[in-house]
Amino acid sequence: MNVTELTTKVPNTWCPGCTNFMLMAGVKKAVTELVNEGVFTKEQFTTVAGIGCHAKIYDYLNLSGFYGLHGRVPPVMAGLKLANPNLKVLGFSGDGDAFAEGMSHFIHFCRYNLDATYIIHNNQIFALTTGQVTPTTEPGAVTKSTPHGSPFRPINPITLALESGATFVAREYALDLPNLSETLKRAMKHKGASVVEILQPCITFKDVRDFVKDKMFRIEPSDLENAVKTARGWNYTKDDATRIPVGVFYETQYPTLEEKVGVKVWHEEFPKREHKVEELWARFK
Amino acid sequence: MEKVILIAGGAGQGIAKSAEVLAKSFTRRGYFVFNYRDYPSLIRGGLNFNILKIGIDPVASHEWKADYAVFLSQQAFDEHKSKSKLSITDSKIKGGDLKVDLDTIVQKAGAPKIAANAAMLGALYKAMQHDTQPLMDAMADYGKHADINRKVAWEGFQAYDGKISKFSELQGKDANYFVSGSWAISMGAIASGLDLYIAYPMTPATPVLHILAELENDFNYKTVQLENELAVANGALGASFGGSTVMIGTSGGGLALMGEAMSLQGMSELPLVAYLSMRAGPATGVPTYTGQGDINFALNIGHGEFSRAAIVPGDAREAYERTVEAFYLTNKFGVLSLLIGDKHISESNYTHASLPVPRVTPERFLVGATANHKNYAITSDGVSPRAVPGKKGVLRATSYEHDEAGMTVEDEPSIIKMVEKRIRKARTLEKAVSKLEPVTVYGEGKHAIVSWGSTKGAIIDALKHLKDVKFVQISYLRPFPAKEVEAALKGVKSVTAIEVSVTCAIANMLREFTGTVVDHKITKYDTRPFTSHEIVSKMRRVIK
Repeated sequence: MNVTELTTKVPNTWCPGCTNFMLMAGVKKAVTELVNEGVFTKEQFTTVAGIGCHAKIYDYLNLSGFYGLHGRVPPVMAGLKLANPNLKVLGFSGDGDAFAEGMSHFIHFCRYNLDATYIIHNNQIFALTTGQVTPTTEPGAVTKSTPHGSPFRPINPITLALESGATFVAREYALDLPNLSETLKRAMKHKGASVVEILQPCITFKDVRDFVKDKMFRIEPSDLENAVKTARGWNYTKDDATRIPVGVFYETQYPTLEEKVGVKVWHEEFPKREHKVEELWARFK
Repeated sequence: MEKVILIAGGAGQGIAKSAEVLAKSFTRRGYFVFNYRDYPSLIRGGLNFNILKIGIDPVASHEWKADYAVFLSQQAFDEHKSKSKLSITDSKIKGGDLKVDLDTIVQKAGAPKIAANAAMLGALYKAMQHDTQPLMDAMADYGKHADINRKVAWEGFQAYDGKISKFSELQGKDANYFVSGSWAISMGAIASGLDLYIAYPMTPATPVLHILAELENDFNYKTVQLENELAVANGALGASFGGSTVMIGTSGGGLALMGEAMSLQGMSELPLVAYLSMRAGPATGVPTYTGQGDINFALNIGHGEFSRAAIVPGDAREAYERTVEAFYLTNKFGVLSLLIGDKHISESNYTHASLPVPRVTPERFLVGATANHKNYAITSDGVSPRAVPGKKGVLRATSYEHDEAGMTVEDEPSIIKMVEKRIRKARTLEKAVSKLEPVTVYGEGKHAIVSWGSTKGAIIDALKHLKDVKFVQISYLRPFPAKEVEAALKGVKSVTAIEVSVTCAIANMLREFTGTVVDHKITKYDTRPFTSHEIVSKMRRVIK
């Protein structure tokens, strides 16, 4: 498969120069390679998007997909996998989508160890709504909804994912294509809940490209305790002492929700179900 | 001939179970029993009671006046003694007509305290002058505790030395089906080819969650409890996109959380059956008691304009048949199927003499995907054949306005095309529903009662005592079967709307869809269901 087969004819409406273009290039590269290596077929890939700038990727990727509601990407992923465990489900959310509207679903997605890859475009701002504070915005940030400085502290999605039971947790930078696509590939190949947070600075409302590039350093996976410690090394603030760990924090194996529930490709196994419901009714005689 | 029996005691005294065993000992001999269950929102103590109406001819409701009452606690006796002609009480209770020394009986039988209710069943059998064999047979339902309960029941039978009033004993009749609305809905879902039941617990929809979880391996489907109603409804649509036949279930508060996903169903056109078991609101309301007051909310749920089927069965038999229709319609047309009951229908047991017969045959209505299949193809009837992702093609489902392939659009011509496709589908649905007997007329008369849902039983039982009254039962509130209702009301002298609510939504619907201004409204908002006696006395007042 050529990577161009993943492109649709829909005009792209991300801002010119948006870091989402590079993020999508990373996704396309990972998917193309996995298809060409015979790990998955193109048809197995099914995307799920929330609402926000990130979600436009639904229209730009020539893959089956579900354009859902704001914050509800994880439950839709769960439904898809419970209906057909053979699908390779890629969820896309922004930081507002995943951690404001959809916070509880994010935690449960990790806890369920659903066999799906959750890709989170984190630009620390609501962009499509023209610039408001999100749960990963640094304290004191001046945004359109916090003109006098944000009163909130950010949450750390990496420690949250680790503590919630995700079995693959990584952070990458949208503009580092080789590492981004390599980590995405690993995440997609991982069996279980994989969370990849992608630092994806918004060039219009919060351009921190230089800051991220300057402060990030690569890490290697470790055990859970050390992974949490490493993740705590950056609490989403912006100061000179900041060091931003990127790479795979943690990877482990655990039975998936689909395995534990024991689901099937229902519509293929039972194109028609022939139940003897009379036998059930007989219990009431 | 009918007998009404009240069994009352504390939560945890086995009241509900003993009522079921007693009922089954009758239905298996061809009697008809309606079993009403009344319980507060707590686990131990408090006051629970069941009322059984047992008839030789069909019965479909309960009454507040009992021929016999069995009291297992002082509180039960104090609160309900006036409801019964004859009360049988534990000898520890102050008051009552007849005493049974439950402590001694249980001790003598070497049984646990909870078995005391079995002694009362034995005593009841003696009071009705019935051979205890059917009761002993029905006690097989106690499983490994069957024998000890039988022993206690026999002691209770021996101990009773009160008034005997013979209740004729049926011989050689076929057994009837004795089933709750929740069981009927669960069996209807299984018969429809259910793959996944997804829910979050909420009374009174929870029994369906328990029943379907229990049966999942026997019928090769799965029941999954997700983290909240938002996840349940959005997850169900994901599963539906994945090709599964899915049902979700909740009560009013849960449905409120599902509102956004109901709207997503409207746009994505993914099949979904949403079961709503109503209870009294607003907010937490009265969790374990009934009401029909959520109906306007349910019928209008979801922002934006889209069609839905709202199906309101009137008893267990209908609950089964209409559940099968709910799946059929959603699979065939991609419309939301709201299957609406309430606490009364969910948790009461009904007796039916024969197996229900669904009007439609379950089917998935999926087509095989081709490389260029489009899930939102523009068609003359508005229904787009649906394929699922995984094997071939690029299949899409979306919350955005879209073109035939499911790609996002914002230009006027594309929007108009898709809006009009959905509206054509609404008309297609109307035609399909008109073939499913959305309106049923019982009896004949110049005065009409119009009602829907769980009020059916009390109204049917009331008709036996009312002259010149017919009952127009509506089983689909969306699409509203205006033509059928108009035909049923043609030439009547008066129309009375009956509903367990304070505002009587059905009266407004009659005006909105048929222009009929009802003459009378009979409503009830004490969160308890109607009895036939209440309806008889109120109807006599309005039609005289």
